[in-house]
Amino acid sequence: MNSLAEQSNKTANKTSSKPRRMLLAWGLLIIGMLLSIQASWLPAKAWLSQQLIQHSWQQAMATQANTVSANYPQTASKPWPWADTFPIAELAFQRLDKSLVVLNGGDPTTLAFSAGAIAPFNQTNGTKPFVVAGHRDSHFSFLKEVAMKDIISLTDTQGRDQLYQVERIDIVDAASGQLPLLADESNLVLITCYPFEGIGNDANERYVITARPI
Amino acid sequence: MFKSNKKLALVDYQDSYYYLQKRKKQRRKWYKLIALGLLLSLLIVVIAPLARANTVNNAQENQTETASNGLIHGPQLVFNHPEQLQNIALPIDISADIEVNGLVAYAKIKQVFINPYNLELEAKYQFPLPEDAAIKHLKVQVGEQEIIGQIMEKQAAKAVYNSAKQQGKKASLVQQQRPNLFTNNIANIPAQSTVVVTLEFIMPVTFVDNKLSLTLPLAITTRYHSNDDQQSKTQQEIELTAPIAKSLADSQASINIALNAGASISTINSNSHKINSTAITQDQSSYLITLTHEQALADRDFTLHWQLQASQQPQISSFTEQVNGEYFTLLTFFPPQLESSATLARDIIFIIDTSGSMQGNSMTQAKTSLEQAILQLNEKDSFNIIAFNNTVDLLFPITHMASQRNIGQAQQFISRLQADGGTEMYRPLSQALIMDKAQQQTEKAIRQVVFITDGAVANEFELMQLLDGAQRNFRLFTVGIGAAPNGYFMKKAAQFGRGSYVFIQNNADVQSQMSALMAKISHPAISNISLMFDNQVHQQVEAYPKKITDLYLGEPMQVTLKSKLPITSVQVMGDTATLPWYQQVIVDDSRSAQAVSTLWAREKIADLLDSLVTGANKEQVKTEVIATSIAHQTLSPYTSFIAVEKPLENNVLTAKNRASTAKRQAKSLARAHENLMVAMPRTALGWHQQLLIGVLLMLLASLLLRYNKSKADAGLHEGNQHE
Repeated sequence: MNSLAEQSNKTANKTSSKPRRMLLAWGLLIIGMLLSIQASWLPAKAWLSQQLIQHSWQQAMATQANTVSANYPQTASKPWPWADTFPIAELAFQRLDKSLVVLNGGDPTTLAFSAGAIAPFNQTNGTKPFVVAGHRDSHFSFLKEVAMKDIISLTDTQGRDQLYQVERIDIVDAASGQLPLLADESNLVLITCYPFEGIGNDANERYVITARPI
Repeated sequence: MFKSNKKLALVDYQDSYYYLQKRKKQRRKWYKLIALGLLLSLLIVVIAPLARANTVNNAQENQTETASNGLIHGPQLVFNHPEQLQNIALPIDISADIEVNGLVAYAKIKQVFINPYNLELEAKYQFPLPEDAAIKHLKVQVGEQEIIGQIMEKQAAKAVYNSAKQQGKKASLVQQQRPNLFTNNIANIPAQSTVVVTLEFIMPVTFVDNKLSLTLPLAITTRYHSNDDQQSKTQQEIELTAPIAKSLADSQASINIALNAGASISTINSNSHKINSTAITQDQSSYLITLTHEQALADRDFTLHWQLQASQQPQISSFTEQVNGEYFTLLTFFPPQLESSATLARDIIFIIDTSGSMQGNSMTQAKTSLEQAILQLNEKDSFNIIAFNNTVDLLFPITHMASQRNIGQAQQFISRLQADGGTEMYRPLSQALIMDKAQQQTEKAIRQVVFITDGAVANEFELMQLLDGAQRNFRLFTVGIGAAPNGYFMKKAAQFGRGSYVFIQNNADVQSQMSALMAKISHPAISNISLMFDNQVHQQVEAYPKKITDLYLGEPMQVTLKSKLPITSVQVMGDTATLPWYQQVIVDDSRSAQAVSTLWAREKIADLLDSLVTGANKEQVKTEVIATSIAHQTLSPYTSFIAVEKPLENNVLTAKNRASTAKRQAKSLARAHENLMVAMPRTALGWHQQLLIGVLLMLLASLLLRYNKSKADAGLHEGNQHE
């Protein structure tokens, strides 16, 4: 720092364009650094929140185990006190040795923390499909490794397990923002943006994995 | 101990200023190199997958078919001709029999297609059902082959499927990519033969500004409005195919409509076709409508508009249907056409969710729509706003009249709202239920609670208990925004609170949908409606909706009833702004009306399914739903619409014959599903892009610095030399 300042002092009387260029360089450096920090904050937040969510999920499972017979409506345990959502289920991909706690809700705030189950398709015991959306560049980045016939297990807040087998992988146009679903099949539907390595945050295609209960 | 008084200073030449500077310089050089290396590797990490993505993309593009079908505006048959990929045939004859009962229409459309080729072909039948239509029955006749489509229990449907699959070819499961496009595969259509398809479905009648209308999709022009290049290619192919042009010219339609409006009709017209209408009742509530030219060209959709005679009193019409020894009655309430000043005053409370998840567009839209809603209030209305996240913020302690001053205050309050924090719904809701109304407000004013949220409701049982225990009479309107709201709670709460539920999936629509809701509920004409039956009948009546909503200006309403005994009269009571209101409806059961039981069954099934959430026996509910669904031919989660070839009687079972039937059976299977739309949220953070830009900037800056330095060094050298 010192020497740079010295240098700039030294060269200042030589040419007048030097300090300006210097200033520009430092400005660029600072902006670049800020951008990078902000950018790395997003995945960092995604990772950190996943840890908290895992914790609260384990807690929820523990309390569930304690109050087995209680017919009391499930108490949602929030991952952090001011959270606007709660863990709803855990997805485990056996082949990929990967698991992820899914939050309730599909709004941007929720999706920043983990993959989210989109209402009204967020009932694990219902007859309707269970739909989970996640970011392609954080929580759902591993979806590209999911292959046909893969087995996915879904554990709900009551500790019940349901196995699903990947039946279809589609790439659909998302210009309309809506995806038609067969209402009467209790499939598991995973949605993320496509292509996986695309840059920017507005993708017009979605990668949709449909898994059938087995 | 040895102790030296002498201070010994060892001066190492390495510590001299010169060397210090030199080492510092060297160190700095290393730092810079390391930083540059780090930056470069980061850049590579970010860029490499992008480069790979491009190659992967290219490889995958060939394999994936983007699922999109163009808009189809009329019935058509797509032949699987070996030479041309797709050949669309249009019906040469359409005859439609439609029965309108109040606000519901039952349509039976018969279409005749021709296989113009000299080949036995397979084809796919497509019919664009009108919005919110529900299919009830399908019959396809090809030569001696007859395919019947109906609603079956899912298990049974699956069994049929699998047996067909095992017997021979792959059973093709029809997946709908677009809601309400009904498709069915038909195999073995002989050369130069006809295919007759009869489709039965029910659909709602649209009611806007006291005008009723009905649209039938018959148009066989303007298909395929797609920007997709591939689509337009197929379109060109279609237009060039000669048989199509011919069948277009020959296409003819006849339409017969029995219009039972339920109240006296003032005008009937059709914008699309010339029609004849004949009144068949004296009060001019029923008409028979046919096309003027018996065989009119079916080159456009058929639309019919009618208007009811203005009435100062609400009109109630009744339609009946008897199914399996049970009596179904449909009561349609048409609101009076009054001056809006003659309606009831409202005491309205807006509850708005300002939790963190509302951030961004949802909040902006919600605020704008709330501002508009406040401006739409009448002078006789009173209002209040409750904003909540994990805390509750009130505009006024009690509701205030909608005066200029109060509205100004409200606007300020709204503009200050910011989205942050959690979602705690219990307190705001309970406050809204017990809040006192403004002293100037009249006794009869209706407490309307408009509850706007995007939040997932976690404690729905507590909330339902809260609503259940409420002492005051209130109406609850729930507005769900975005992909997340808990539809079950919102729907049930609104039903319970005699209101309605609006679900706004796309947050760009918040404003328009909200103002539509506000307009709808702004003029309650009759409130506290209740029905009374004869004593014998009363015990056995099952009515939906269970709690009858208020009747608003411009908003007709339907109530469906089921009873063991025929209902001959119903007494309807309620309150208007000035007087109690009473009307006796004499139910005319001499004529059976279609679709009445279906309407009832739909509500019944929805109600049964909702009971699952509150812990009803799953098996019992399932049995009941299946029974209701099959009896009234309406879809449910446990039943499917399946088309199976009818086994021909007196058919000699030869080996060859059996094989071919199995094949045909497999191919003619089709299923119509109830399709739901799910919102697809944005699922990309886009941090790669940002990181890339950041790293590039940093790289640029360091290059610039280096350049500066080398220049400076060069300058110094130069200076030194000169000196």
